[in-house]
Amino acid sequence: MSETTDNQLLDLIQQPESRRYGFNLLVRKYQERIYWLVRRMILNHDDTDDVVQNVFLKVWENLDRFRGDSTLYTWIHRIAVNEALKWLSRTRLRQFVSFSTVERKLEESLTDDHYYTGDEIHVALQKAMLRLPAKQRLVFQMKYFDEMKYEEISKILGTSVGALKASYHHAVKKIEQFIRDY
Amino acid sequence: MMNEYFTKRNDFHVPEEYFDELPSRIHQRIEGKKKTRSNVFTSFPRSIRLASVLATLFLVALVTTFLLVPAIINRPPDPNGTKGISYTELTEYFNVDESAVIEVMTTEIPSELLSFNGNISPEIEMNGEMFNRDDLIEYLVEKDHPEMAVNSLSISEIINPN
Repeated sequence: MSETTDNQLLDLIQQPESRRYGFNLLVRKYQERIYWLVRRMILNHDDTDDVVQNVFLKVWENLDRFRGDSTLYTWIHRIAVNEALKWLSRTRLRQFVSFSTVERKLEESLTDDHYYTGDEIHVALQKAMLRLPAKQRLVFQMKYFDEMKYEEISKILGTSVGALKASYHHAVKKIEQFIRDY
Repeated sequence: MMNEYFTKRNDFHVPEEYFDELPSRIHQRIEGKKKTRSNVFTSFPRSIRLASVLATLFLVALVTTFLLVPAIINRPPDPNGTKGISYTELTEYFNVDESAVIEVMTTEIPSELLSFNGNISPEIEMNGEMFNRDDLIEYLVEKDHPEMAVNSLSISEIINPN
């Protein structure tokens, strides 16, 4: 069965009688992409599950405001990026008093997480990525793991292609240096 | 070069049937949110709801004017404030993204003043003043996190308090 196109989804969602059905198809179409985007930022499954549900809740609540000036894919990804960054900021603010950073906490949770089975070198990669600023980490993940084009990332993050290329270049250098020193 | 060290693979896993069940869990959450919106309050006549909202707003204004504002103004300075924090801890905390620095430099600074070949110029003149990387980071930090502005000191003043 071929995947429903975004236009077909929007047509279903715009009709009150098929809105719920259309939204269900939308969730099934994008849930895995959104889940992995968020999971690589937040690492822990339970927190990711929470954020992903918030993402689709926001999508449902704002469907009428979607103007079609970007693709549905870009729009949903943008919401997911904002929710993941908001989660990191909120967690950072809660940690502020003790100066123990969110990233250190995430690092500690990684080795305790039974939904993560990486070997030592891949744990090192995760630790290296956690040392990047949140937005730079997103750029690296979208480029390296999701193999997205810079133009696609630019639309989601609202950052110029030139700045993204520089950011990715710096991210790779930092990660390579961390791995060498690990 | 990255692939010399590791293969691109996904070491994260999800519980069994997670993606099969996620859509219905999201729907439950949507339904749950609808139910909490239509609560006991909405069963009252509109005039009573309006009157109670106005009364609540009046009370809040009263408390704010006579209690909270004087308390905030007269609050003593926090002896454990952020002034004594090292630059390393601050920049690590704010964790500024270099792409944001580059974005500012390429959109807000005339290109003829940049020598951008993958490296950021150490110092740039703009409108007759000299700006360095620390100045730009400070600008970005305060732009994105106004609630974290540190006692209105610049980062360079924090590094060199004298």
